[in-house]
Amino acid sequence: MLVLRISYSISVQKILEDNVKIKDSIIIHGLIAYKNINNVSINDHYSEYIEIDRYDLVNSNFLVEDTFLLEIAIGDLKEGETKTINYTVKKGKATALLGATTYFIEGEKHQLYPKEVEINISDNFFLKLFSFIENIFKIKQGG
Amino acid sequence: MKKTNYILGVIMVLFLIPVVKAEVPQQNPFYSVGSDFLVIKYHPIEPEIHVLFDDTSIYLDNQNDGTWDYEFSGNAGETITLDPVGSAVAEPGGLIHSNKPVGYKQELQNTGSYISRLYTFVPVIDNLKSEYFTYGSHESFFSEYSAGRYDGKWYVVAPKETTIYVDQNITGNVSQAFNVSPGELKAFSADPYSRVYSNKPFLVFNRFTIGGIKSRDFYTPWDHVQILVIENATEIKVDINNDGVSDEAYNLSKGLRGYSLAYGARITSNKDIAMFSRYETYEGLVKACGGNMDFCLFVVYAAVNTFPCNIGSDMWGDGGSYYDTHIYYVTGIYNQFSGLYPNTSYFVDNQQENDLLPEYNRTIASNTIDALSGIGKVHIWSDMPLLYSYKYDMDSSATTLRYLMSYPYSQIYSTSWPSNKIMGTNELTQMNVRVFNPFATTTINDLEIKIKVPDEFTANPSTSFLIRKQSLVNDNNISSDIISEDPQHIGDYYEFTLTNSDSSVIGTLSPLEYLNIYYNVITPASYGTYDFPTEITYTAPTWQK
Repeated sequence: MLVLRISYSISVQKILEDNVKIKDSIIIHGLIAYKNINNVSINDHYSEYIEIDRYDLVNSNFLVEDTFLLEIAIGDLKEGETKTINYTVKKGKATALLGATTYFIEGEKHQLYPKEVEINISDNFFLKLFSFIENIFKIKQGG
Repeated sequence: MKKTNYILGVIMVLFLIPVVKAEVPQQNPFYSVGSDFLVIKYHPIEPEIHVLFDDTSIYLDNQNDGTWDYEFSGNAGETITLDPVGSAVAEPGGLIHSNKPVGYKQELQNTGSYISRLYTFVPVIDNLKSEYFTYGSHESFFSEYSAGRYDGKWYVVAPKETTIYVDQNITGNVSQAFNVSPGELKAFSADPYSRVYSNKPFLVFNRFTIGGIKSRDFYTPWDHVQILVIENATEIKVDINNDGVSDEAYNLSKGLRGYSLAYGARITSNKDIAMFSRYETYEGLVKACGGNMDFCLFVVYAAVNTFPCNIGSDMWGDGGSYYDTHIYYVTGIYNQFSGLYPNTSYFVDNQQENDLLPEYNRTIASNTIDALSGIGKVHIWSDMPLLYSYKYDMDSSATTLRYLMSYPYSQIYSTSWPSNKIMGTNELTQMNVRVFNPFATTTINDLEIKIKVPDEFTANPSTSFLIRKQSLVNDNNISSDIISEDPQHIGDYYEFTLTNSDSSVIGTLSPLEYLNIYYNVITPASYGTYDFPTEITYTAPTWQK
């Protein structure tokens, strides 16, 4: 038996943040670019079709799950540039993955990891935001 | 008497067979092909990458900061010089990464009109040691013509932040200590010889050679060596003809000693020693310089790192060109007394074809050298280990001296690398793990791959792994599978262990095959530099003396 062990240093940099907030039934994306990036596109995935102002959802998938995608093209962002985008959920019940935002840098496509949100808007709306990462913490802790 | 020898021979062969076929970790050469190297440079001569397989990508990370700066590509049999565009150059201490096995050859010295060109292949990062032995610039050790022509300095590069200690004269005391950062080159002098060590792997070199490694067992590629005796009262035995019986014995005190020996002679000792092979004699240099001593250079030495675990039977290198025939040599080591057969059979295949159908095959006796035919870049394999080196075959008109002491051997290894050049925070990003078998005749079994993800990253439960077994020669897909694995949180890492029980694609790798594995992780919210180790275990029949 032979064991080889190779360790590599891999650098992780700040390139793009998509700070997602929810206020009432309004989804707010706060983009901050730390480098010059191209073809930024806000991507929100919903498990069910829901009604949203100004936009229509299209069939898509995220990590092999079938979803309904809201895609908002932003274009290029320069280093230091910020941009805020918002839209209103009018009606529907779904699990949302907010901020699976994509961009290109040096010709390579990147995708941010989204936050998971339960959305239920009918007569009384209820939004519950929690970090998908919490699930992972449970795994770390053996939960 | 003859009958007795015959019976003894049969008994020895019968005894050796199960040992040779045993699955042992002996074929792990210091000089091997691989995918990750540190740039070593003395003069502004750029690294040469010997590309072994088609569609090979090579990346140069000049600061070794985790993000590559330049990309190169090449096909089997090509030599790619890492010469970035514009005024940029490859920086010493930088990182070279390739997506398939390559050899990294560095010209250490090029002295101009009457040219002495000295080369070395560079060991992969995973094979670096944490202790080396160096010689000084002492005039009598080089030659009477070395004074004033060589600064006597040695240089250090390291893959991680490392503190280097120099024990000048090998007294047991630290005479110098200094730090080396990734992407940095540090120099030191230590006459007449020194032990250089750390608690982490690093690489030390000068304009002639990489530093020597201690051992108690060496085979000589050439007929002149310098032995660095590290401790007093060291007993050294020389088995000139490799018949298992020592022919000469010496009891030596600490210091450097020069010897003339037969090619491929075995040197053993009761205490650690380091060994350097002499490039050329003074007379040869005078001849090469047209008799004009003003232009004569040095008698210089290269480290001999040929103890048994550093030699192999599967090699990659040059076979000569139309103009440079008879300059690439293999040296026979074993015979029926020390190995399986009276002679070593070796097979030579053209790298551009890589079809494992040898262009020619020969046999070589122990203690002899054999010049290879000029067919360009070659893949050589043999039924017993060989040494493989390069020396310009000088004649009276020669004005160029060129030497290279050790060509790289094959090695089973893994590499891990992100699919994207740049990794941003909080991203879903793809990682690529590859496991290579560049051997011509060796199939590995019981392969187990342990993929470690730093726990600052997020590794989802039931992470999917796309696994492809592909041909190194043409990238054809041999088999593929998608599996899901749950990680174990061990120490600072999430660990995924992939075995044959997960997929039949894993488990075995035949000659010139590789596993190509993709999976996704989520990068941390904070920026930084992170390590992605990969461990592989396997069984394989390989050589053990």
